[in-house]
Amino acid sequence: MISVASVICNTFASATPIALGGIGGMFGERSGIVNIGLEGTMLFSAFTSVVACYYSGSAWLGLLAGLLTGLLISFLHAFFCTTLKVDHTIIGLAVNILASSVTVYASSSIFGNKGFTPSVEKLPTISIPFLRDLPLVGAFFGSMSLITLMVIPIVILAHHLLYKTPFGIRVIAVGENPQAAFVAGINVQRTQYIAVMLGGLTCGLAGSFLSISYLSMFVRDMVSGRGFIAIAAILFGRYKPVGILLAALFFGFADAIQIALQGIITIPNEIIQCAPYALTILAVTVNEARSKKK
Amino acid sequence: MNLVHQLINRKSSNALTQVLIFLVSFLLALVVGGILLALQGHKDILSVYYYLLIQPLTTGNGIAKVLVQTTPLIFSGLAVAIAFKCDVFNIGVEGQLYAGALAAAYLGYALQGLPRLVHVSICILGAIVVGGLLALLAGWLKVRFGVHEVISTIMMNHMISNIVTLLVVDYFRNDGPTARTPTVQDSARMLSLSGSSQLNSGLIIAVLLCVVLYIVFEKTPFGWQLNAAGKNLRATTYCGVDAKRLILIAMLISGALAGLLGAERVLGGFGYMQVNFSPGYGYDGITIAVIAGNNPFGCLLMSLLMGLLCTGGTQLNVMTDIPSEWVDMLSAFIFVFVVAANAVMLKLPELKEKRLSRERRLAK
Repeated sequence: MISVASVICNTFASATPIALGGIGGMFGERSGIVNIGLEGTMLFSAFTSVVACYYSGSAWLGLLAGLLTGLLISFLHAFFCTTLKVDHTIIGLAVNILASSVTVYASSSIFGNKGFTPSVEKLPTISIPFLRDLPLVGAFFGSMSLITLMVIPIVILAHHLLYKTPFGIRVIAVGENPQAAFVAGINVQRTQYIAVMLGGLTCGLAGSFLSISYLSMFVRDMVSGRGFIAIAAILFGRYKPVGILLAALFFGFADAIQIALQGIITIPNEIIQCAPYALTILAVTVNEARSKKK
Repeated sequence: MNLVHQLINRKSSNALTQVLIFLVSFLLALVVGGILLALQGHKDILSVYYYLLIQPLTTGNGIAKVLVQTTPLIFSGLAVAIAFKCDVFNIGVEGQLYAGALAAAYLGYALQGLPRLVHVSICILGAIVVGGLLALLAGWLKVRFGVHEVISTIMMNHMISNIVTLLVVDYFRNDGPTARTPTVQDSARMLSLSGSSQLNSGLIIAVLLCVVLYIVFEKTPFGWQLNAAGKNLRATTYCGVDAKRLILIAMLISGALAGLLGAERVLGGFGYMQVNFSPGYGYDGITIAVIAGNNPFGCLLMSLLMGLLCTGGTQLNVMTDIPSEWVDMLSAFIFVFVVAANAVMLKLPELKEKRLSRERRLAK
């Protein structure tokens, strides 16, 4: 039988990196910078988190390393896109290609193993009083990942930042019409840098989640398409923080159902595992078709 | 001085600039890679590069191995390049080549009693059709609904990888420890070019395709349209070119080339289709096409280099404790440096303009 509790747990766990990556990509997209490199940024962060955690013994330093990595990669991304004006997709692809080879090489030269790293300390999980006693969802709230807990505040913060602050308005203005924004006295490049790097932070958080909260090690190519699903979540969520969260939950739910169905029904696992990817294409298609009609 | 002038004034010598950019990036990647090794405590960096770049070319067997690695890379580079040409990113070569390989393998062992030429042709055709249709699907989603092809092709890669694995393991499996299809009939094998290695007539097809695509790109209206669409899609549409049709055709050809890659590996290389046989040919194709600036002969040269790196990397793995991923990283570095150098080159005239205008202001 399908366990409702485990579906709920898996939904939130799967949705966390997609939502965080999506929020990260959204800031860039809103300022006019397309970031295909979310996948690679997350992979880099996941790796550095484990390395920092391994050497310091502290998951907190691992988290910090993941955040800083996200910041650094997104700074480079912004530098290439805004200052050097390289094609955004090409530089995103470069980040992805670089990430998958550099992390594996570094893994083998630091730990002597290409496939995965040794197990490290995880970030602490949080047990929320009262909520943990609820039926069905109790197990989830009883040992909740710290980063999953941070998703909702981050979405609220992103929403506030984007719509209620001068900075957010500037980001939107720059993304909608850079020339007009420039004439209005906005520093277009600086706004884009800040927006992309802000996104890099949450992307880094998503990477850290995968390696030192969801798992406790780095596995080769462990992001496995989540960065691209995050891009789909951005499109599906119509570039709005709350929309992205809902889209991420939708994809997370699809993933949880997929995990729950494995071994239960007679359809082979390989086919069930395709579901989240197929759903992503379908969701983007429906979304684009809908926005075309308007 | 003349050289510097040419570098800054891109119009005068584009090909020369590209070659120089590549050489500088290549050397820079070697330096950075060497520094990384030195930091790890490797003393003899020069001998590392000897094993990587020179040693494979010193024996006939080594050269054959390099060419074996080069063949699929040419197909992959060309596949990515033709889509790039009209500004479409076919990241799905990796998936399409698996689908093509499975089609070729199935037709290769299931059909019997055909003459060799007919059998091989049918297998290749099957691979081309399967690969082409998958890419066409992504192209159709793009022109019909506006779905970004990077997302659709990446998602399709994950799905195809799952489905192909399932098909090989559960339906087309050969009895034995490895997950692979039965060996194809002798009549379905592509001609071998050397007894001891996997080198086969696929290489000749690949080189011929470089020539054909060069002619198509440079000498035909279709090539002109592709080029124009890549530079400015809207302007090209105003010239009366059906851009949607163009994108669909480019994707179809791109996927067909990916399918051909799969067929070459199965019919010419292994003789069967094995799960996860590709070390990332599809992604290497992106590197190759970008560095080659979508030029088919550039793709050929880059594939040779990547083939050399790949062969040398394996060699290195045997002779030293350096993992083959170090070599993957080198090619990623070359990719990044070429992109960066191109960006800087584009930026140079602008900087020069700024300097001139400042000097003019000062002169006043």
